[in-house]
Amino acid sequence: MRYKIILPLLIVFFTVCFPHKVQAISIIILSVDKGNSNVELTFDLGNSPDFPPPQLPACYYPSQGTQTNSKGIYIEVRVINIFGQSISNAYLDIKAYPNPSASVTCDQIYWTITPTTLPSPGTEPQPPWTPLSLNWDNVDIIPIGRRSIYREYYMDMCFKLESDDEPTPPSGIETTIYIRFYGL
Amino acid sequence: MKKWLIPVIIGVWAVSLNAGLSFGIAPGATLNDSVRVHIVIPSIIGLYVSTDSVVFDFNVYVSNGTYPPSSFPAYYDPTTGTAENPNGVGVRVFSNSPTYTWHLETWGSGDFSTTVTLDQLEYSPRGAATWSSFSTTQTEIATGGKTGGWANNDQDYRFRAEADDEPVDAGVYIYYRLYAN
Repeated sequence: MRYKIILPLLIVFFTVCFPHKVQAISIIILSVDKGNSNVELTFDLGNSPDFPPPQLPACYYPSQGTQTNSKGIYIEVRVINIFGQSISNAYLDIKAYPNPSASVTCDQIYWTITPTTLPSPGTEPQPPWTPLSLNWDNVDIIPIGRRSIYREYYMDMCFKLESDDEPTPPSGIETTIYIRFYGL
Repeated sequence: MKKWLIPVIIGVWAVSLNAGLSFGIAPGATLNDSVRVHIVIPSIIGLYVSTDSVVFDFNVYVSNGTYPPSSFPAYYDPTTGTAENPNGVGVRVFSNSPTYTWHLETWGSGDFSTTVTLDQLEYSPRGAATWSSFSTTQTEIATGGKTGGWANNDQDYRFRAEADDEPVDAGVYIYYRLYAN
């Protein structure tokens, strides 16, 4: 939170010292899991009492979430406007790559930033649950006004087990979720 | 870039490093972060058997005139089945392994009475009418590989009434066992 102190001081400093040189800039900031390194989500169905499920497909929360969200990922974004804004909107996007295996694909991992419950066994996840894809999907569009912006997202995630999913190696299979933040 | 931006950027950069943040000037900058996802699906088999009782109430057959029969032996369907199968029990098998073979076995706990024996109770895959008598010995009734969800292995029951059956009000337990190798 030190930038809450440093930034206003810098703004005051430059406004006073260089009033004729000011121009609007927007600084964008992205933080995942409070900046923790090596962020990892684990879906270990062997730890679930509901595996095998009574019906398929069946969805599972992570058996191990991140440090800041036991059900998924915690994302913070900021847009700090100095002397006005230089962008109209900020965009938060998500994708996954590669598919974890031949039979388990990225679109079996769903995300939501709207608090909701797990789908019942035997039913497909419905919105707000959204499947990850190999291409960028938009999570949120943030209109930028003159004021600085702060948004936090508790992005819950679930894994949808399908009837044709085969056992993984004991060490498991992996993919990577990518998150990007930019302004235009 | 304006010279006065440099200390601003350096300041934010220093704070960002300390807080594990990434930052940039927009438009132009695209910030990226990533999360590793680890998925473990164990090899597993599952067995579901309906827990309701299957009842052969011959009072019903007496009432509708079908018992006693004109000749013995005579065969009767359950008067009460289970929620999954009105003529017997619901049996479902789950296996997600493409390499292991599962085996489903069944057996009974013993005779109903001295005159009404366990082998008078017969089973068949649902709707197949290929009847076998229950015994106290474990008998394989189905086998297979990856099921692709829960595979239906429902079993129909029927009772074989014989001429020497004496009145009885008794039950037996029917067991199912699933294993893979």
